[in-house]
Amino acid sequence: MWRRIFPGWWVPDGAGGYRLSSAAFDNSKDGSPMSVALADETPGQDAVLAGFAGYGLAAFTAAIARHECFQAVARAPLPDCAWHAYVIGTKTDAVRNHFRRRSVVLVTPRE
Amino acid sequence: MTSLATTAGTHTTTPTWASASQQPPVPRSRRAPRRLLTEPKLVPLTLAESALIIEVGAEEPAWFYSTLSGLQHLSQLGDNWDSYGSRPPHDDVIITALDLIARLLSYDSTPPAIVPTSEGGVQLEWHRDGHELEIRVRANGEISAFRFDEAAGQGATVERISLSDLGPLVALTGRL
Repeated sequence: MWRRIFPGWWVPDGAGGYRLSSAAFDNSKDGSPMSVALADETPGQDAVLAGFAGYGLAAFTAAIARHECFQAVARAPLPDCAWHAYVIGTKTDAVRNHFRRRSVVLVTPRE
Repeated sequence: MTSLATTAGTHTTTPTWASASQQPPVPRSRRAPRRLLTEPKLVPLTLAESALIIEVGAEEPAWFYSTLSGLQHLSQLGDNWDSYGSRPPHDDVIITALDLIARLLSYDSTPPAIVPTSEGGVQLEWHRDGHELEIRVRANGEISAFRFDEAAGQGATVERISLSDLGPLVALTGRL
């Protein structure tokens, strides 16, 4: 699964580099779950990042979401985004941090 | 801990330190008293719906300006800043984060990375030598903290932190 990464979620790592912030893995304020793209069903990275210049892309597996972060994964197609899905469940500090540590950055964000 | 005084609200008065050079000359007998180097500085912080005048004594802490800049940046985020429909943090959340920082950090503390959360909050982060510390001010004002030791693979959380009692937070964070 892919999650778009806002450039402000790419933070200094204390050793001269950058790393993901756990803030990248959260539910929305309106109560809707965390949105992701089902990677295998997208036309590619460019389609997921279209219209969001500078944003990055992080990847994690459904197994990590389900078995390590105790979340549910559900398809939630949108009219212009058939590959959209939700990662459903409470995002405690520990859960968000686990997503951060287990995710792989595919596209590095840039300001 | 650093002593900062903030005044919230909408201010239209320019701080005296900023306007001093713009004032027309006045007779010596009517000049205002000169400011002393030991007097506090007044630093403006403009947010989306309010403005603060921050009074900082003598010399600014090492983290001061980078922190203000980071918080102001959050206030200027537009709608859908995260590409998932989120709105920027409200001013009161940002002010709570600033209040927390001022109470928690020492004069020479390392400034935090300041990041917005999709939930409408502000997260403060420090990463150093395999230790991660995250302090989160939620949209509803609740404060929590999470510390993770990568070498040990262990984390610890403190929930429902009160600004009036930072003891549990300080016990988790140690010296920043």
